[in-house]
Amino acid sequence: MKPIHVRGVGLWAPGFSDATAWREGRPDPEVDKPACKLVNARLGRGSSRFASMLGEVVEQAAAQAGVDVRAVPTVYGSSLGEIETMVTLLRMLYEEEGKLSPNRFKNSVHNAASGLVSIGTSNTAFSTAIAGGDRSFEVSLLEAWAWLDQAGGDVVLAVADDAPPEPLDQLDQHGALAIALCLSAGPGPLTISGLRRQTEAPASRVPDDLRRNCASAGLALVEAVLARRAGEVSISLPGRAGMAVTLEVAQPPAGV
Amino acid sequence: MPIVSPVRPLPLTAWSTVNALGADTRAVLDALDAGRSGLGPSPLEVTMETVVGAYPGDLPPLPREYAPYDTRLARLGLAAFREIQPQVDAAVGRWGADRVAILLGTSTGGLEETEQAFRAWLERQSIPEQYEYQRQHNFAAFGEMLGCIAGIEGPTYVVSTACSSSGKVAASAQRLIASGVIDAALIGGIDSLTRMTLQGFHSLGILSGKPCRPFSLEREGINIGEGAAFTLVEREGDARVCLLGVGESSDAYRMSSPEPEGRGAREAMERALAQAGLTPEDVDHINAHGTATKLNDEAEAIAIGKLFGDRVPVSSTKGYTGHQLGAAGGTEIVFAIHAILSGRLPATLGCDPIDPSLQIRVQREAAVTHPKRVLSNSFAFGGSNVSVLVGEPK
Repeated sequence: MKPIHVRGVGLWAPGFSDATAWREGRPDPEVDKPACKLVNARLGRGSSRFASMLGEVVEQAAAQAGVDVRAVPTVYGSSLGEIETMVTLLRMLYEEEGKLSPNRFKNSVHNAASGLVSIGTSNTAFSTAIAGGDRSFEVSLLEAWAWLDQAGGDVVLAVADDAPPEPLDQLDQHGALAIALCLSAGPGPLTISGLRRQTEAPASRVPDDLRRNCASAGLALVEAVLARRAGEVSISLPGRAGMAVTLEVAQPPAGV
Repeated sequence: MPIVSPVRPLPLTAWSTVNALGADTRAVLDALDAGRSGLGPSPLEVTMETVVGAYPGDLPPLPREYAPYDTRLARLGLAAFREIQPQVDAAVGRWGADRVAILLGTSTGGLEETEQAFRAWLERQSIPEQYEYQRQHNFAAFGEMLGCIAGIEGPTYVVSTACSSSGKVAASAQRLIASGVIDAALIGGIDSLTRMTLQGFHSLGILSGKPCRPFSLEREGINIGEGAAFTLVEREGDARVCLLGVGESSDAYRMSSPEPEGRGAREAMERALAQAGLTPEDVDHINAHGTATKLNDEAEAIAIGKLFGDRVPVSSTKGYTGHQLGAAGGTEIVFAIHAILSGRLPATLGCDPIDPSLQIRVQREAAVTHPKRVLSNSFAFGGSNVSVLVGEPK
């Protein structure tokens, strides 16, 4: 595949409203729910925090890149998807005699964020939703990269998982994280190339509570982009087999 | 509308499906040809009257070494995969394990197992010991297991865009092959019946209590089905049917109802044709999404009518299998291939009396017309649309 270029990033996690806050490492306890202005209250009725996380980072990455969020193609990735909505519906199934909320049900699909953002922005461009378990970041990047390779232009890749709710937190426990990259086939100072396998992803600075969140696999790339640090970058969860890419930085400075 | 470049036809070298019509591909296609519906009473306890497309009979458990992955969904998937394993083995031998991908569509994953585990947790405040979310419910679990069974080491992932999932994997495969990442892909879809799905569609008021009647004046909604389907798509090879084009689009209208003029549906079909370098006149048959809801059938008929007029025979096969959601597109690709190889168009079960407001040619009875190119539509929650065009090599 031809090299691609990073034009913008987005990040949201509890305590961190964007990538800058994350990089500064100073959590704000007030940040618990993303603003996600792309989806208005009426449209978002019955939708999850997870969908808002994805919408928020799409908006951030598109804005930073200066691309039109009403027209840009989007690729969404997640391992757990709409797990909070699913648990809410399971409670209704067993505690309310099968009476499910229609708003919750239609927002329970893995592509709920894709649908909500496209409706909220009247964006009729290509959009898809990927699931790849722990490897959701790398396979979602692959889908976005292959799209750019064939169609050109820009694409926003957004990957997230929310924290598993009770009782599934007994089986898999981690915090919430969403990241996004606005990627382009066109020229740019930050170039991704050389997608290749690696037998074991190196240890990274991923906080302990996010080590099992599939979006954490993209943190090293986001941080390398923010720091404009060239070199080989793992796109897999620390300690796992997976993939790596090369980030080239053509020139230092400003505005990703 | 984006510029769509024509793509090379990709040979479809093997396929299989299991669903309410039968426990193997031959049984499924024989039932389709015979005009026999697989719809029947729901094996799951639900609060409303409905009929479903349930797999007939028992599904064998997974091999012992894969016991942690054992779910109804995995059993359905493995039953379909076993039929084409020799051809998949040959593709792995030809191209190399890391040059073959597994690209699957699902909308439920192993939800049925999670429903049971959740109920047990509510009753006993403990999750059953044998339940494992990551290897049973997680959408990626079946592909992970299948990669081990098939010796496939290429990219393995799921497209989960509700009812368009297993149509959209055809586009993913096409792009990965065109980009040189892989040389072959096992594409398809799997979904199993769950209580949540049935109750959920009931909550939306679109679940029919009787066998569904696509394009009928008397249609009352959908029936849910389950099943699995696979198709092997390769960069090169001898095949009588090829993947000619795939079109994807977004409605950007509502989460659970289509844009009423069928704009997104029409764009998906137009893009599939553009990729194939063909015109509407080149299409001989359409396997419609045809869910039998009032709104879907209206919007789809408008889209088809604007593009094809009333020339092309249109069938919906939902009255045979029920709507298999994430597995629907994959199954209907197999039905489209079968139409080309057998020369037969399936009847649209339950369509009489046809809704006179729908300006399309609904295929009322089975017919032998020897179609050379067939379009298969799948539309989904979130406004996700895909149209897959298969046909004889040019």
